[in-house]
Amino acid sequence: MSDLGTQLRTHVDSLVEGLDDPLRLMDRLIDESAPTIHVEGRGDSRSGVSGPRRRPSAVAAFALAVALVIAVVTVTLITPFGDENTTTTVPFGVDIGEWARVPDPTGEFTAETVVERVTQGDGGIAIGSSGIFIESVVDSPMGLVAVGAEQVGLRSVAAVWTSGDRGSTWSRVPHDDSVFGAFDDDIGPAIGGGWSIREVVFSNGRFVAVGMASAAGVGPVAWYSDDGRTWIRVSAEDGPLGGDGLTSVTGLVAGGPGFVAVGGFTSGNDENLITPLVWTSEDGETWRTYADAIPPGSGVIVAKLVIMDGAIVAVGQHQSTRTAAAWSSEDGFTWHSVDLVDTTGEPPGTMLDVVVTREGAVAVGRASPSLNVLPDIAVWTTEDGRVWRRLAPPDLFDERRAGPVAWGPAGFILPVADWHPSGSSSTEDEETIMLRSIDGENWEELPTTLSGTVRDLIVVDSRYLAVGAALGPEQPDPDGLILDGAVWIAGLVPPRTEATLPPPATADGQLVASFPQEGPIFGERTGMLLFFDDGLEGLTAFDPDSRLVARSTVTGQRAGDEPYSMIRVGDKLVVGWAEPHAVDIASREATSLGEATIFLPAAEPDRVWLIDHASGRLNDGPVTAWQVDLDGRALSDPIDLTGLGDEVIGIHGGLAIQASTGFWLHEFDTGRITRLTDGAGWVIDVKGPDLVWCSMSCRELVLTNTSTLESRVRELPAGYDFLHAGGLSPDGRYVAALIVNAESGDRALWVYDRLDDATAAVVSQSGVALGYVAWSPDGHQVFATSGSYGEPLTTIWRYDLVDRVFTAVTLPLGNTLRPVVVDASVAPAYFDQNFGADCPAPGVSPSQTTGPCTFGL
Amino acid sequence: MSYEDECREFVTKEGDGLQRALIAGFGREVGQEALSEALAYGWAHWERVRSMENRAGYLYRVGYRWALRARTRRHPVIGADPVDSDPPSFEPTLPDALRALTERQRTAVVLVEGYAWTYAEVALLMGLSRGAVETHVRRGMRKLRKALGVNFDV
Repeated sequence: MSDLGTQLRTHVDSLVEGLDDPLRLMDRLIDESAPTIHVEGRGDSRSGVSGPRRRPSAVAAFALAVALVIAVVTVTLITPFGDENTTTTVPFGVDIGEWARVPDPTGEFTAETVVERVTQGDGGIAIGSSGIFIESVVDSPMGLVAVGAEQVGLRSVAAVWTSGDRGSTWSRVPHDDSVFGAFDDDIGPAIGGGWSIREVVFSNGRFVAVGMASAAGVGPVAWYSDDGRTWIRVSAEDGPLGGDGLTSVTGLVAGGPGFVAVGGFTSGNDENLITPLVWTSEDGETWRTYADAIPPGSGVIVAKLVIMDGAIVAVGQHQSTRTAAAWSSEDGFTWHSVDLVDTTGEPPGTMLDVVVTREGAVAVGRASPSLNVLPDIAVWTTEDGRVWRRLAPPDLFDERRAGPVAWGPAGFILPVADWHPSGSSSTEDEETIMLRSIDGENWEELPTTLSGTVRDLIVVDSRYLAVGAALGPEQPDPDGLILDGAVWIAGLVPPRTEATLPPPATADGQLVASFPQEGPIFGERTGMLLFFDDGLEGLTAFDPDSRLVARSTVTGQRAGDEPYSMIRVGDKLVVGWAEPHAVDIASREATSLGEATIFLPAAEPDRVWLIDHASGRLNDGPVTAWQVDLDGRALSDPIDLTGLGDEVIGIHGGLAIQASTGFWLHEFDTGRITRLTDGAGWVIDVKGPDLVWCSMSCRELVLTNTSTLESRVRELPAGYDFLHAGGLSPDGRYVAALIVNAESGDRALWVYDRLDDATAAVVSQSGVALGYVAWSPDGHQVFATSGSYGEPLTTIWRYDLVDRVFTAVTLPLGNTLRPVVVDASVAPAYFDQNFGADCPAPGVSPSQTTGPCTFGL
Repeated sequence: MSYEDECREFVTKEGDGLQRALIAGFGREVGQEALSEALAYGWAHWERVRSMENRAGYLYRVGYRWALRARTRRHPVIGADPVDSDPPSFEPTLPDALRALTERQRTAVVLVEGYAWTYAEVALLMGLSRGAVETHVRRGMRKLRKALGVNFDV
């Protein structure tokens, strides 16, 4: 056998053998120039080559981006602090190998796609790419609050998000220039800069956050909030945490007198002369600065703070020796250096993060004090906070960088990334590998990687929740890296609900009405109304709590067999054909959307597509499409769709179209055309970039991100053979779908949890055929109904995801088609007309012959 | 010289190295697709690429990052690629041993030890310092030796 070098060459040559050589590839690129990329097949299959005018793939587009990001950006996550109606369940399993990125259907974490270039005084070019960075997250009785920044080009503003449902959905706190900074704030001679929030804590009913601002001089800034949504900035101009020069803040903890923050002060032009600073506050509003607290005269850099046995523990490094260091304090302004024991023989390290456990604390950091050499990960442990011991590093730590560390029911979780030549920044395009340890000494690599960078990691209700940043789907400039904020969750898999109700009552083999004779129809109040499209020119409103039913006409609605005749879009119903209308749900005021043959749902909020067939008939003659808002304003020029096929539904930036050649996605904004299958595609629902569909046989559920074209295929629960209908929950987390046993014909309502990638519920009642699914606006209830056009009875299933309660009723209501669920507060607009007068008997239609009326069940 | 001629000249000179570097790091399938992606990018942006001093290094990093993403979807690595059915003229366990290296280690080891590139040449292509390449090679070779046995003539 030859030497190893020869063997290596032989092995790689064997791999190259038979492949196109590079020149042949280039010749094909030059010869096969095409105006648009045509991606065929499901998911990410690709041709591999394309012409010079093709739009480069997102990966290729960002591949070279080594942006000079001058501004430091942080991001805050805030979700609406609504009712804490979260499910309190006893978890049955722990799975920290599966991490799921929290869907962001409303774009709370979506960054602008801007890359800014500014020529500097020395002729160099500063490049700033946009991004949203989530830096820190904290749990509280009021919910989760995350903080960070939004960067657009070279400037940034601070940002905050909240979550009221344990991290499943988030909403951004409305931006206020006076609180979070403005993109056009005066930042002096600097090219870039702005505002960012670095860390947030919660204590005694108050959120306190600290960060940085380069407005009015670079320095730390503090904010506080008593509800997570309304924030007050401690005036930066007053220098509450700062002073002259460049001052940074690195850590914050609730402890000592109330809150303690740490950082450093750099004087003059020597960035190596750092004076450690400590700030304390009783309430987050008024702060005191201590310039010589840690430890006097040594010159240290503190990275993180934690509370351990009532004392404040700080970890970081000695500036002079570049070695790891730790301190402790009882009051926040009197600090003591503690002992570190290192018998590993490894290079000196730097502590970057620390977590407290029941039995002590674990710190993680870098095994080299310099960014210019290949670093490894280093770990220290302590039992009492006074003596720290360096652990011998396993091979898993080689050439990797440590992220934040967390401790929870599955042990320690440590996100790490492969070492990057550019140092510790600009790595958001890389993969994060998750390591786990039960004892802090023995580590294993989990099977799943995260696409993005983890900036903070906490444990929420026994789940691990990570926040950070990840590549956005659009990368318009190879020199800039557009980053979106990202939240990932792993941990406990919630219990699965399985329930089967007995068949509904029958008489002589015929279905008869069956429902409680008093009280709420579903046994408990729902707070919702169900609007049923009556298939003609109106709707039937059903209040299950007060047992009222009302029939009424809807302006713009008309009988027809168009694919969609009544849907909810924002706070309006969209109805009709030939001249579709948007009808305000609360006021019933109708607005014409324009003249078009039909409308189709759009993936973007508060919009619909209008499709006009010149002949006035579907599938006949020239076809144009354009998008409108709910006031009827056209948002695009008419797009010629003639000959492409049947328009199915809107997708992000375009339309899904069924043709004889397959099921296609046409993205008009990018020109990309993708075939998802060469057969028929049945759309379940669409929201933002998420398309839920199935192929011809509908034996599997397919979830496709229409931006990235990544697809997930999920099998149906055992005992069921195909999908029938369904819908995404308002927050995009769940898919509810009717599934069918082909042999018995029995149907079940399947609730699939995208976040946990698991079945949340399978509930069924044999003997009834349901056809529609609708979610309550808050996403807590899902209803399945039988279509009853021309029939006297309607069966309704209700599944409560919060209480995990399944109920079913069969009601004496006829002519009910696709339902829409709305909040019961709009009831007065539907139930105060002609109560009991000239009202058709249940099951008799149509409303057009009798006018509006209301009757009770 | 036209753009096309410039591109062809560049690929004639640097293409084989790019191909071997990417296939060494990511295997036959992903490596070749990464090469296609890099060349496609280079062709589409030749106006910009042509002015660079280190065109090959630039396009290598295009392919490298594309491959990193592709790797997470498909997980092919060099050792997993099919090889000729004839008896290989290399140690049968070499593919498995290579699989245990990081992409950078594989690339650096193959280029330096297999194709006799200098550390400086590899550093230029991979966008690393010379010292970093040395470290990758040293650590990679240490792992290979350990996996294959110490009796090799290395």
